[in-house]
Amino acid sequence: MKEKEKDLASTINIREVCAECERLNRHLKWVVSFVSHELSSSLGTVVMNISALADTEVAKRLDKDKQQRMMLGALSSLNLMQDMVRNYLASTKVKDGQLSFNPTKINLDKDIISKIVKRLMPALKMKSMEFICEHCRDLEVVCDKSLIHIAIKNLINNAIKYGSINTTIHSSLRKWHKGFEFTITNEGIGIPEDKLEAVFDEFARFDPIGIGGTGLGLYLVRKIATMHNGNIKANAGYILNDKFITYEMARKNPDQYTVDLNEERIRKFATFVLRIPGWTPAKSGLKAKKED
Amino acid sequence: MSKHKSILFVDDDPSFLEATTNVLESFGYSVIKALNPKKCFETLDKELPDLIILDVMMARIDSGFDVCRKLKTDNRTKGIPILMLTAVDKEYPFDFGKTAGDPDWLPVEDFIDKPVEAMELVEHIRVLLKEK
Repeated sequence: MKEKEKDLASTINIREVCAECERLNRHLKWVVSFVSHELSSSLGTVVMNISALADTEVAKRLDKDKQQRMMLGALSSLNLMQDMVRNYLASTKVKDGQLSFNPTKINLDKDIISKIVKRLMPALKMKSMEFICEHCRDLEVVCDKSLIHIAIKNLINNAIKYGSINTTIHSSLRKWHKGFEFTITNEGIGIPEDKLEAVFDEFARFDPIGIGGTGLGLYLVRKIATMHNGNIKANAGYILNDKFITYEMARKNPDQYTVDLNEERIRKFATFVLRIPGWTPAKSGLKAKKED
Repeated sequence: MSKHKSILFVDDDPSFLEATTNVLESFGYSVIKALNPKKCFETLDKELPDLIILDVMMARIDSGFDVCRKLKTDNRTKGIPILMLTAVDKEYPFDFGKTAGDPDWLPVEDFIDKPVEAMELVEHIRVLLKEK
C-alpha cells in the first residue's frame, strides 16, 4: 500500500514539475521574442540613420542639422539597446538571487546623475527636452553604486521616453533618513490611475503610443529599492494652467479642477519618488546594516 | 519628378519614423507620418498619398496586415501601392496571389525586411512610384 502511495506521489510530483517546465518554457519563448522584437526595432533606427550618413548619395542631400540629428538618433537608439540588454541581464540576476549588493559611499550627483544625464543627452536633444535636477549638489550617501545607477537611469530614461517633445523633466534630490529621496516628473503620456501600481510589475507596459521597451525598467527599480530597504512610488495626473493636479486631487475637488478627458491635447504628467535610506558599508563577510 | 509625390508612412516607432522621414524628405518626397493605424485612416480621410509604407508590427503583432487588407478592400485606397516593412522574417506567409478573405492574403505591392538601409528603401520607393 505504502509503495503505491509513493508511486502516486512521485507521479503527481513529476506532472507538477512537467507543468512548471512547460510554463517556464512558454515564458522564455515569449521573453525571447519580445526582447528580440524590441532590440530589432532599435536596430532598425540605427541602420537607417548610419546607412544614410555613410552613403554619399544620401548624405550629400542632408544638411548639417539633419546629419547631426541622425547621428544623435543612432546614438540614442544604441543607448536604448544597451539599456535593454542590461535590464534584461539584471532582471535575470534578480531571479537567480545573484544581484550583488555592495554599499559604498558615493556622491549621487557626481558619481551617478551627472554621468547618466551626459549619456542620455542625445535622447534629450532628439526630443528638445530639458533636464533639471534641484538640490543635486554635494549629497553623499551610502548605497550600492551600480544598483542605484541602474535605478536612476531607468527613471530618467523613462521620463525621456514617455515625455513629450519640448518639455522639461524636473527632478530633485533630497536627504531622507540619512539616505536620499529622488523625485522625477515628466510631462507626456502620464500613467492611468489604475496602472500606478501595475507599472512596477515584470514586463508591465503601459504604452498607448507604442514607444516600446522591455517592461523591465520599473520592475528593476522596485527590486533595487527593496534591496536597499527603500521604496518607489508612482503618481500621476493632469497639468491644468501649469499646475500639477493628481488624480486624487481632481477626484476630491471636482469643482475646483475641471478635467475634460475628451480633450485630445490634455496635458498629463507622471512622477516617481525613489526613497533609499542610508546604509553602513558592509565589512568583509558581513551584510550591510541599514542606518535609522 | 519625385518632388511632389507624397508618402504616408505608418510606423509605431517614432525614432525610426523620424530617421526615415529625414531620408525621404531629402529625396524630395513629402512625408505624412502616422504612429498608429488610427492616425493612418484619419489621414486617408483627408488626403490620398501616392504611396503607403506600412510597418507590419505595431501595437498588435498583426495590425500591419489588418491595415493593408482594409486599404485594399476600400475603393478609395485600393489603388495606392503599399510597401510593407517587416521584421518577421518567414514567420508569416506572404501570398500576393490569393484573393480577399483568404487568411494568407497579403495585398501589398512590395515588402522589405527590417532593418533596411536608407538607399535600399529609396530604390524600392522609386520602383513603386514608377520613377525608375
